[in-house]
Amino acid sequence: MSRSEAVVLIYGEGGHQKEMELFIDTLPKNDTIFYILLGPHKIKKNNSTYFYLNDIRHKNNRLKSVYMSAKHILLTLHTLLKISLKYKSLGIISTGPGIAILPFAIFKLLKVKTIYIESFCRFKTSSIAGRAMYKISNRFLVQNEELLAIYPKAEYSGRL
Amino acid sequence: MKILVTVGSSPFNKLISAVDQFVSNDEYTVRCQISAGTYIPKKHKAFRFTSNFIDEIKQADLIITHGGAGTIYQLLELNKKFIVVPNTERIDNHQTDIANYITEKKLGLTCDNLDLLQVFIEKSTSLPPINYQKNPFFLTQSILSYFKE
Repeated sequence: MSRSEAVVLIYGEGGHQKEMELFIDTLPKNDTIFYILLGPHKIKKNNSTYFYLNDIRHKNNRLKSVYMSAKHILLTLHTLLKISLKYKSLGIISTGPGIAILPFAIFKLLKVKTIYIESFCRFKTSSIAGRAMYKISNRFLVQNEELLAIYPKAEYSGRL
Repeated sequence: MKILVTVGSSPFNKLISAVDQFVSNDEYTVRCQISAGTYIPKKHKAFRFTSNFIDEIKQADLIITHGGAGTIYQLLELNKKFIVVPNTERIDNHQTDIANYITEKKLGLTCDNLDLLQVFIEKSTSLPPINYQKNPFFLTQSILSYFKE
């Protein structure tokens, strides 16, 4: 059975989900691509399917973060296996944060194109996820020009 | 004056508690969006989330917001007056980055000391109109073409 083509979108909670929603708003109206959405909460979008994926850490509690990381790793492996059996990924885009590190590393090994959009909350500081994704992703986009001083090989994208 | 207080998706008990303590309910009509916060204000109305957040913003004369970028850009695009209070209860503690940007560009006020919240509210009334110019995201087509290569 031939697998259908799709683009994978990965996002975390709060502002990261908001940024993915804003990115989706920029897609052309006649877009025919099928999308796979991966995140802690569903985003409504035509021509897409959604899989739950939890954030890698808790925002306020370190102990819960340990549990969340373990769950995240198992769930990522299980979900990516399900996705790869059914779909051929054309590429993967993430608005962060750490939720995307493991999927990006796996997709990179599978030679799938990866694009990371650094959060628009960053101006003069880098995040752990940002530094990791700067090394892993094929294209690293920044929404604030100030970040080009930290990530010289990044592309300035304008703001979502 | 109508004030909206918003904490976004992460609880920010210190902010809600300070608003309850320092902001008068005689002088101001205050509504607090508190997420899963455990501090419930006694003087002011509170709700956890709303599907009509944009209406809440539009009805307010002043917004006291956590340092979440999604909320801040939404306020800028609606030309609303606001005070940013970075949420230092979070582990990642990154909200000062955008708060510094807001202060440097004079787009709003940043309050780091919650004891001074009332002073900042008074100060906000003399803020000039916001002049925010957004350079919109322009790489969507480039991304889609890249995937099709």
